Amino acid sequence: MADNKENDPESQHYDVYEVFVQRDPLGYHTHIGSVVAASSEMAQIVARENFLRRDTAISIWVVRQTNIHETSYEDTDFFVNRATDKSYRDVAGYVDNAKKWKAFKERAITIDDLVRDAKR
Amino acid sequence: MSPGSQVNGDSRQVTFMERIERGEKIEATDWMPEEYRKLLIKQIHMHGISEVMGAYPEKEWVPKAPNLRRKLALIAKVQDEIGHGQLLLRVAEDLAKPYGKVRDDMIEDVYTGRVKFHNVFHMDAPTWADAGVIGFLVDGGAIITQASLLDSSYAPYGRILTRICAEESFHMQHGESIVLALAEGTEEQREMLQQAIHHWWPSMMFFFGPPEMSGASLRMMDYRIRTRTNEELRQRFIGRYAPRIHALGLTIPDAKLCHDPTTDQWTYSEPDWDWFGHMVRENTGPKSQERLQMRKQAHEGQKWVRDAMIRATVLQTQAI
Ligand SMILES: [Fe+2]
Ligand SMILES: [Fe+2]
Repeated sequence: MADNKENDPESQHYDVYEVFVQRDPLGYHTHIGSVVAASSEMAQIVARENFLRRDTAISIWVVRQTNIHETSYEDTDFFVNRATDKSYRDVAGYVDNAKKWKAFKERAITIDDLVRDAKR
Repeated sequence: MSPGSQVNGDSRQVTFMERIERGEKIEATDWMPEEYRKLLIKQIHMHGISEVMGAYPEKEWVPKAPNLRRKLALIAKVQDEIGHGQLLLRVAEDLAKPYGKVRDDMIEDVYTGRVKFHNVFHMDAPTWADAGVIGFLVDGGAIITQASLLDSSYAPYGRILTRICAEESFHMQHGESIVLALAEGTEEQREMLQQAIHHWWPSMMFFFGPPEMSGASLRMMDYRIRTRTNEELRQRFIGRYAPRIHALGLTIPDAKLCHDPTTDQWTYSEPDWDWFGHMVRENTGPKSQERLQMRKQAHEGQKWVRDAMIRATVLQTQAI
């Protein structure tokens, strides 16, 4: 917000708010864009007008942009992370299991089977 | 069920129970009865601490894993479990805020005996087969429990469990991979696996809790914090895992174990409820004290780092 000419309305500007929308009760708040507004209450109203004219949502978070601490896109660690083989950490690294269960005349199961059990 | 039973005339309690019965989800910022809040804290705190203590039996096998890939996978799993602990404690802390509880309290509670952790993590893991069977049966059982909580009335819990379950799917395959490798191995390896199954089976029968549920557990059902009974979860576990163990040509140490196809129910021998119950309450399992000691040492030994970080931040803000 404004500098030292704080009392001069002409030189004051709206703050930028980043907007996060939650679509359903078990959903996460997801970043959708940003708005400018004079207050957090106004930012919520503007966000609703800008992003939810058609889509439905159950909750909006607005966060003053200056309160967001982002990583740098130059931080290539994220890519290096992807370059190393991490198959030992993923389900995809264990496809052999299914073949082996078959050799024991048993069907392989995945977590989805157990989640489906829970809903029965 | 009698919604406003203990807070007579409190219309907020009635409205809250109506929300629960409509299947609505509760958020951290919503009004909630104190009983609901306390039950949630108890459940999620215990769950989070169990994730952390759950890393210990497997961490013991990291230096002794049979090859690099197994070692990497085991490290990855241990990292995941500690991560699950962090996520769950965060959810519990938001709930415990009115009581002034912070992360340090949540952690210290385990070695001061104010929070319990799952029976399985008090047990010893003497062989490599135990490391595999933990992933196979303990994670399997934990997934069955966690999957049943995905639909919990407390939305932050359900949300974080969705994330946790996604990672558990790797734990499940990792455990089965070790078990399958031993099952198709030498006689000695098969024998080691057989011993581990015998070692863990009674613990797994205890894991889901007594068929006759405690008052607190029943209240959790009323509030739809959980929606399945102990017995339902145990039956699902046996139904999924007994046939798999048998398919491997291995035995289960329970002569009573059998399936009734008409009722789709399994009969089984009850575990020693008193022995396990005492172990969980008093931390008297084969490895309870050793692991609690390590946990305490880790927490207290790192205190100077946490303090230094806070001091550095204070100094930095003062400088601005
Ligand atoms: Fe976990
Ligand atoms: Fe796990």
